[in-house]
Amino acid sequence: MKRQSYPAKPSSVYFYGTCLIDLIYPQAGMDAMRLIEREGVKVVFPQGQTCCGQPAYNSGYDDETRAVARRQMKQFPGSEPIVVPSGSCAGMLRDHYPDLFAGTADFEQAQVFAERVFEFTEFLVHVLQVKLVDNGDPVKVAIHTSCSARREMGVADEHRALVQQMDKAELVVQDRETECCGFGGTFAVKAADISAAMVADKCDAIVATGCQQLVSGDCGCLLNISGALEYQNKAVPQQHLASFLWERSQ
Amino acid sequence: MQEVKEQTARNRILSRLRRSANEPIAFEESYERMQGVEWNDADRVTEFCLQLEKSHAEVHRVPANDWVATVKKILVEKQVRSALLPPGTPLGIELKNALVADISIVHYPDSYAEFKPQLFDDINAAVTGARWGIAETGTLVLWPDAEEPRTMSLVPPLHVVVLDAKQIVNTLFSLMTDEKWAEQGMPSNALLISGPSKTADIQQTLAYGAHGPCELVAIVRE
Amino acid sequence: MTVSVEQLSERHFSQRARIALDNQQLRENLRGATDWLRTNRRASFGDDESIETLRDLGHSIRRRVLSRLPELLETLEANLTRNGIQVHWAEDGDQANAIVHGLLAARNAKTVVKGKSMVTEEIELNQYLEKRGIECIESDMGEYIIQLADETPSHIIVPAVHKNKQEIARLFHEKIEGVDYTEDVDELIGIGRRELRKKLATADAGISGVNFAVAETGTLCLVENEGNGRMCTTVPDIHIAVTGIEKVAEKLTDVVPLLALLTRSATGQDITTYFNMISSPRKEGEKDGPSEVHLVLLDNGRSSIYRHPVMQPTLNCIRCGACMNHCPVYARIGGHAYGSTYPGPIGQIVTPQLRGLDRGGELLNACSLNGACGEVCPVRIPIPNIIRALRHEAVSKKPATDAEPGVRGRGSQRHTMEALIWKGWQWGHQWPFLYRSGSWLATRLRGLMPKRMGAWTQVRSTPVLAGQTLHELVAKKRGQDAGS
Repeated sequence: MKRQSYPAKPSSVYFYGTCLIDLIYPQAGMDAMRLIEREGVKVVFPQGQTCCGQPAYNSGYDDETRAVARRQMKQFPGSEPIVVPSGSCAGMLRDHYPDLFAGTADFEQAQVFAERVFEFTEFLVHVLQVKLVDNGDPVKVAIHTSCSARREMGVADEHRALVQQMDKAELVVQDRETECCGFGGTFAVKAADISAAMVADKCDAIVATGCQQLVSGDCGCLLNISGALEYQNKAVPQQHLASFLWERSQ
Repeated sequence: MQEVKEQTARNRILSRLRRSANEPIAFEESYERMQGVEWNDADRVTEFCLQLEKSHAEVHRVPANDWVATVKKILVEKQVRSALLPPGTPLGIELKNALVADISIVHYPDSYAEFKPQLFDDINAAVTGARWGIAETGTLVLWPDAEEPRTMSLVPPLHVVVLDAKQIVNTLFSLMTDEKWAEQGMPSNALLISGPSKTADIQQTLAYGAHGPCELVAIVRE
Repeated sequence: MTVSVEQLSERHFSQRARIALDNQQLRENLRGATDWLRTNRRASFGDDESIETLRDLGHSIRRRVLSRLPELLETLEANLTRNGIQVHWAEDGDQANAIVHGLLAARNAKTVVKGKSMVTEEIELNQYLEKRGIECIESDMGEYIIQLADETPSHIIVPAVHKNKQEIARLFHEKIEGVDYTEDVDELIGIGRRELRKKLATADAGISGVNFAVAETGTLCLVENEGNGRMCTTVPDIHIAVTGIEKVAEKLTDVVPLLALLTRSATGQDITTYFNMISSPRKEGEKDGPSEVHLVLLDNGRSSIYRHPVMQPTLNCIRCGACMNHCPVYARIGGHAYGSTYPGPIGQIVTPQLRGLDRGGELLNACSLNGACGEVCPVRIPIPNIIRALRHEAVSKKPATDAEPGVRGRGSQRHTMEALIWKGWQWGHQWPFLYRSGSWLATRLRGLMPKRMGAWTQVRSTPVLAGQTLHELVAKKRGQDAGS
């Protein structure tokens, strides 16, 4: 569910990098932090953070997830907002931690923690209320909004609003924009054929827009779509939204 | 033996359900949403006709003193040879007098089983009344009875329904509550009819006259 | 030789999915149908606020009804009985089939016309009766097509959704005597009408499902467009309705929002052609209608679902099919691949619970947890959460107890290797030092990463790890900031 209200701009925030960004797209994490810092907000990146636990949780391994989740919560003491450059990980931290700890001694902590979690684009739009200046070249860009960003966090409009702040970028919309790209974590391996069919359709729709650039707020989807496009030799340059915004607004 | 078995099944099912830890929830919903739009008298009739036409029905608004002629004209134009009418209602009696010279008028006999072949194969049309109309969805509400049995609105290929404009209400919800359906008890069969029989089961292509009437004509008496 | 999807057993979900994915015609048929159904639904609901208010209402009605289900079932039974409708109870499919057969045999019924009913598919009533010499004719156009083709429905609302008109034209031409090949849909429907009317006029009994059984008034409600449902419940001398115990509505007014949700969610109609409310057999003096009406209330695992607090919302379902219409997996493999009566997301949560996780658990993998089903469900069943909870049940090592019975087949999908992998994952992510050393090492050794990574790289390039992790970049930058 979309967050109903937003706090005033804080003096400092925590940044939750996510494991995919950590290992594969670290630049996206750096760019997201720079965007926040440029607005005069201090960003703290606790070195003890690892993974939100979603892969194990979605596979049904709740005990293993709790062990990791408890450790994550410990890394973020205090009451500062926690900004997450991924709808999927933010959804896990905000929507699923309270469920995961329901009936345990950590439930209250999980609830308080969840309240502090913000997806990166909603934080930029509603808390920092950024007004970005586009210094980039004209470009035709398509957005793929992850299913968690769209349905759990309700931030599809925020993704779009930020791209539209780039006035030299022309936004194009692919057919069946709201349909899943077929990533779904272990789904891509456990139901590989179905996932392959889904990502093939997604790639076709994106290529058909004639876009020169694909952006997404989630690196899982990016990894999936760009991997498939590359495999088909149809590579469309792709970036995390944070990098797209940072590079163009410098 | 069978009865004992079913009684056992009943008790076992209910006791399994009762072992759950449910907290009973009392009725507390607001049904405001279902009240829907409230139209004035003229708009309500217009809306009803519009919606019913959208469902592929033919709708005629006629002055109250003109309806018999309209029905007759429709039946003749559609080359109806035999039509079912209610035998004893004012609608049935008036129509019979006007039609009897041109069309063979049929009433349900007491033995329905023997009547089935004729009903399915020979009757071209049925004319019935409707108790109410619902503006929101363009729906006719029929309560079949001895005068107008259930199959009249179902088996003949053409169904003509005569409805008084003042019987048109806003929504199904307001009808049920204003007329106290639940409190007064339901008839053996209550029907909401919105258009002729249809199907889209073949490649999403809409086709009319699937099993019931191919044509539905509504006469709104004003 | 082509293997048809139906020939593979329920245990081979992935093979069936593969066959479906390779069938280009099927893919096109499904895509066309699901796009059409999605667009219609959206158009019929109007603005977001109006959808959400109505869904809230639908959800709270179903929740209220379930919270008092045993009491409401008793009220329903009492009021139906008072109205002259005979009520029967069946714990499982065999009992229900035996009850229906008993009623038919006692009246020497030889032919039965059927209105669309998923619950009779669930208990395989047709097969049961056919074996005992009773002919069952499906009268819904889609079901009739399926029966001619000797298949099962691939969708709960649009049973023949997987076939296009050319396929249906060929089927009619081959299977119905004297029918020329025609792709004209009006003509095809006309043929179906003619053939089925012969049966509808003469059948000894009619069997139907129920959309809502109203406790307050003792009324059985059926929703349809074709009129075959009315035929089956009106023309033969005996009408037997079969329904799951969850299909109760408390009050007559409850059906108003539920009906509005059902028709819009299913096919995007504001209302269907017919809403048929049956409260009694033919009364003294009435000229038609069945002289007997029976209702068979079927449990068949529903009371177990009911007892599990997380799973209970499964029973909110009003069988609209919106979840399958919006599911990206269903839209690509169709209903037959699931190998279960109920396909798509609702099937993925119903089937493992009815059959047990050992027999239906495989279906749980066919979900990317994208949430499209939960977003459209008219009664707000949290389908993705239930899928996740069922995955947990499937790999749980906790034994079932009487106090916490869990779902049948609990733990049956737990495999040692997978469990070990997740245990290893836990250690690697629970201890930051281990994680940082591991990721440091991985990024340094990225040149050694295998180029082929199983299923992933069959259609995708190999992911490339970054040279340095975000952890490192941040630490380095902090060092620089501090130094400058």
